Amino acid sequence: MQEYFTSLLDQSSFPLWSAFLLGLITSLGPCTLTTNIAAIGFVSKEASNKKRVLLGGLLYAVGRAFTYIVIALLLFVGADALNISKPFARYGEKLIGPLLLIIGLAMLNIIPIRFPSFNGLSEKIEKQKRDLLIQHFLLGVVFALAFCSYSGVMYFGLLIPMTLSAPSGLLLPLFFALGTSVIVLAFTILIAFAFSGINQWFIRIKNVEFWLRRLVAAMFITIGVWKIFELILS
Amino acid sequence: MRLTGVLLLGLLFMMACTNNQPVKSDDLLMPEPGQIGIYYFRTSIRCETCDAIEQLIKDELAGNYASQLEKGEIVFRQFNLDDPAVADFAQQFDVVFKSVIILKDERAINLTNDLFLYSLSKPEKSRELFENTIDQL
Repeated sequence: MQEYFTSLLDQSSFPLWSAFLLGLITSLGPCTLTTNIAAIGFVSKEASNKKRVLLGGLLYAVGRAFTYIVIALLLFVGADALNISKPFARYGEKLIGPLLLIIGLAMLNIIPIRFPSFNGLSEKIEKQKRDLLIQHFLLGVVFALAFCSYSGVMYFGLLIPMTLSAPSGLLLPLFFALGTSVIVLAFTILIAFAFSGINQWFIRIKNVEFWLRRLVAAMFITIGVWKIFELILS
Repeated sequence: MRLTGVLLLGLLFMMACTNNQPVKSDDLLMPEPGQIGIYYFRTSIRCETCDAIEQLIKDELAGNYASQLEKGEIVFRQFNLDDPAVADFAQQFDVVFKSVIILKDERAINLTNDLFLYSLSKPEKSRELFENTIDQL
């Protein structure tokens, strides 16, 4: 599949399409794929609620886009690319394991994480919905920050030079983010609509979300611990 | 308990599948005048793409460039960027991420983007790019 998308990228002469394809290719790289699989698990824990699953997937993509655009913006206004990319190169790859572990433990309520409260807004939006908005958005933001070598080269080495030279400029990171999130968005739609058919049956099963949440948390913890071991053994 | 057992088994399986041979650094030297230096900057964390690039370089050096390597006309050096001395050394090439730099005298060609993009998806193209770069020096 990577070969097919790389061929499309070679033939592309439209920067926005190239940025999207570059994002798609990046999403098939090892660590973006890991974070995206974790994100699919995270989004699917709300499987009994179609709207929340769809909104969750979308907000995850928006979170990724936010990170990519902010970094691109810093470089666009003249920040030194080497200085900006250095911490990501040094710590990005090492961040994934602990991050997944912390999120997994937080999902099991072993580590309590409180999300910021927006007083004015909280009156209008019910608490659960607000937490959902923040969690999925933040997951996208943080997972996008966890650059590994492959995604780092794709973003800093290929996308950023295109962003700085193309007239469409800062739109490119947006399309790149869309490309990196397309797998999550596709699974989100699949999960939402696949479950909607059996929704009534699904809703009747008590505690299904409780167990889904635990299953997803276990997945986060397993991958997180594996990544940490990988780091320790390297 | 059963879930914990399954998780531990899964973890052990994943760890067994992980290639954790440490990346050691060669001496921090520049190539001799007239010599082609293939410098591969890595980190302690191995990845599939990084290993594919290493294999590509080693295959090329053992095949097409074996005689030049033997004569000392080409030198291949690997460095671990997690070592602060290597990170300092790499700065002269504007390297912070894993990178492949081809050096000769005053010239430095960064092949990182192409090798990362093609080494797994189109290995033939990455070989061609590598050979073209070496041959034009």
